[in-house]
Amino acid sequence: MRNWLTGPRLLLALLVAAVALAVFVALREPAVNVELGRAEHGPLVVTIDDLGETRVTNLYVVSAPITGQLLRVPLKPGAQVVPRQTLLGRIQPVEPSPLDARAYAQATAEIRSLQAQLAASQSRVSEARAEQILAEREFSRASDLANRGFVSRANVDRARAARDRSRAAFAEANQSVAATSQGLQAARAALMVAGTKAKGAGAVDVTSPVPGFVLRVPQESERVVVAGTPLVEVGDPDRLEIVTDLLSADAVRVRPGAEVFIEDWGGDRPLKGRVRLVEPYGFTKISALGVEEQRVNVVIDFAEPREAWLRLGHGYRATVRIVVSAAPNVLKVPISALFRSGREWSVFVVDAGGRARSKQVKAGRMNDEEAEIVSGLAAGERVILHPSDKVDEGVRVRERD
Amino acid sequence: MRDTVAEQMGIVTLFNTLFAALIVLGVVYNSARISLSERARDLASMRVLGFRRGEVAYVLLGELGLLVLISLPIGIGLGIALTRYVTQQFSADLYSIPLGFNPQTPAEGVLAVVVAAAATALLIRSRIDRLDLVRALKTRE
Repeated sequence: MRNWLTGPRLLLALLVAAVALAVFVALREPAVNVELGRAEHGPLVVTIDDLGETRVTNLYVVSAPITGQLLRVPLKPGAQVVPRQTLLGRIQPVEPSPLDARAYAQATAEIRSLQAQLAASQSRVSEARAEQILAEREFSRASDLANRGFVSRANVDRARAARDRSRAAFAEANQSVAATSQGLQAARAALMVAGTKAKGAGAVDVTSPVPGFVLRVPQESERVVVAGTPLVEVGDPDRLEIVTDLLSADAVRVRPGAEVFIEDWGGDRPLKGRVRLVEPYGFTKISALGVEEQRVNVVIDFAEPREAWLRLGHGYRATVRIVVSAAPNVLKVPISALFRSGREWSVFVVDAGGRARSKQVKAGRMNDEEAEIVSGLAAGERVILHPSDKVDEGVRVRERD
Repeated sequence: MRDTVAEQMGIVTLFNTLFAALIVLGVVYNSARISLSERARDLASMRVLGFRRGEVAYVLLGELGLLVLISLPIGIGLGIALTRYVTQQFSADLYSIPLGFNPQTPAEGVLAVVVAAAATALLIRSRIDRLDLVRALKTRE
């Protein structure tokens, strides 16, 4: 029994064993390091994510009702506004415009012309008075004679008519003098220019028709404004909404009333919202890469009390995640485990022997992180995440630390 | 990319392996030659006393084989330690190279050493077989 266990044999056996071990290890494929995930049941929420902006639900732009000189607007953004009471701005008449040489010459000539007319009409007054005195006398004479029966009644009537005409002519001449002197005043007013201290009339106080807060003062400094110039924007920051422009293909999948998660708005937790309106009107927007996209505005209401988003204002940015579909319990895998093979989705699963096995699966709904598996996998199976080109059917794998 | 790097590293590794094999050949052959010349008289005496060629060769080559066997795990351990040290020294502020250990590498090393040692053993064996008994025994110590 001890005969065959000699030194040379033992040494040879050891050498052969070492070589055999070396050959075995050298020829063996090393295990590929992979990251593993697991197919499991759980909730799956599919959302459409985009950037959105807050805005005041009803924004009122108060504009100038008349053309005139706007005095400096005293309100700053944030000031409270009481309807028909808080003074937003005051518009005065503008200063008279200057006269160029022609207009000045015309105006002075007009004054002189009217002065001459005034002199002429005053002369007309003297003439009319002389005529009237004569007519009065003739009438009294005729009436005396008629009382004594020397002239006919017809003569008396004619004299009376002549007296009445002359009275009327006198009154007319007087009025004409008044009219001409007023005309002269008007002609002199044409010479008024800026800085003459003359006061105009018709200053207007601008007030807000609605309560709220001043959001923006686009025209703060004093200046001449044309009727319709926006002066102050008034809105109620307690009533905010979020508007986001989605690609029209995404907007089609959004239903009014859908739940929305509002994130990255600056607060310490996401807010909840609800889609109120998907606008029926799309518009073209050119993306940063110069691609023309058809986008649709989606309006979202906050579903939480004002205290939760107290610090938000008009035109603030937030990320909105609109829930398109939500399933409470589906079989799902991390989306990085899925890859295309032909027209179907596939995954690599790790079998009991630690080897990768490719499996064809049918995928359902997907979001950025997870995908629903309709068929092809069982719950609890381990899948390889983002498999590299080293992973293939039957390759030994090992989970990376 | 990976293929390009692998190709270039493959050429480098091939040369390194060749050099390593040459060194193994030199070391093993050298030590064997030294002990052969040291013990030429003993071996010749054994031959004269009636030991067979194989048995005489075993005295020398067995020692050699045992040495190689013992050196293999020590060499592998030292190799791993050297790799670790080099990768640590390569780490800079901007990047660091992770230590990738592939069991194939020491296995290939073992094979290279064993092949080189076997080649040496064959050479030595032929020398022992052709040992000039008379001249070896004649030399005075």
